[in-house]
Amino acid sequence: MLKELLREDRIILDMKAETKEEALKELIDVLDLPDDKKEILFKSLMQREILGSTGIGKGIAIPHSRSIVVDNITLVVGISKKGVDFEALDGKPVHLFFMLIATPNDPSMKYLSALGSIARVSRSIVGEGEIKTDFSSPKEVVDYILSHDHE
Amino acid sequence: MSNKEFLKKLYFLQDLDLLIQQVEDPQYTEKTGLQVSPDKVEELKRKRKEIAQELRKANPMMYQRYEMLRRKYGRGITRVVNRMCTNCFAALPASIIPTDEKIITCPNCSIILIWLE
Ligand SMILES: [Zn+2]
Repeated sequence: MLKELLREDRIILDMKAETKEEALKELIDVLDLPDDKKEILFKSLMQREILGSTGIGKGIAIPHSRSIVVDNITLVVGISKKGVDFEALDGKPVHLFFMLIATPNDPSMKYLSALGSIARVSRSIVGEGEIKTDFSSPKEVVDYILSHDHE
Repeated sequence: MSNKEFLKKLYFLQDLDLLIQQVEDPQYTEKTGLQVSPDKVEELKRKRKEIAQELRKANPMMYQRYEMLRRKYGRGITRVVNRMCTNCFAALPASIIPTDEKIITCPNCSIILIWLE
């Protein structure tokens, strides 16, 4: 599942963002979208964050939304070496972001299974202790994530 | 409210509806372990109601249609991509051209259509 979603051109190796807003904008910027669509997407991701941070703790966040602006289920991965204050549940800075966007008409099971896979991989990554943030290429990030995708 | 503003607000409403539906799905928490604050969800529902009232006032017929379609398909408004309705995937007849003069609906499934470039 994750394998199909991971794309090397949708990976940020060293994010500049320091705040939640900046992080979401930086992740959205990876997508080839006009500004008005980016704005819609940002609003919809923020709306979800208001309900409770998607910073699940131990340095990982999974911002997600269904949005009219994408044509397909879309995943962007971001690595932050210095960490972002994402108002995570445990208050710790976030070093690894999985931003998942699905179309409104996406059969909700596909979207949910993708979210479920990401949550599972995240648990496996934090289970190891430190999150790796030092990557020299997007391909390395993909391999790192997939090496934690056991199913 | 112009048609353009109405449509923009309407898909914002749909975004909220999808979000509420998602976080209230028991499978969501089960599969992802993600938590939401019930108070904030109630707050979001109040916001949803306000926007819905505004839309109902601006265009009662289209708002009704949105609610009816939402019950039927789970959504009431969809994008046109490559001249195709992304709800039923029917190609739109050549006579349908995007315009701000009126709100356009799909001749096949009757969903409200929006063009985003
Ligand atoms: Zn249609």
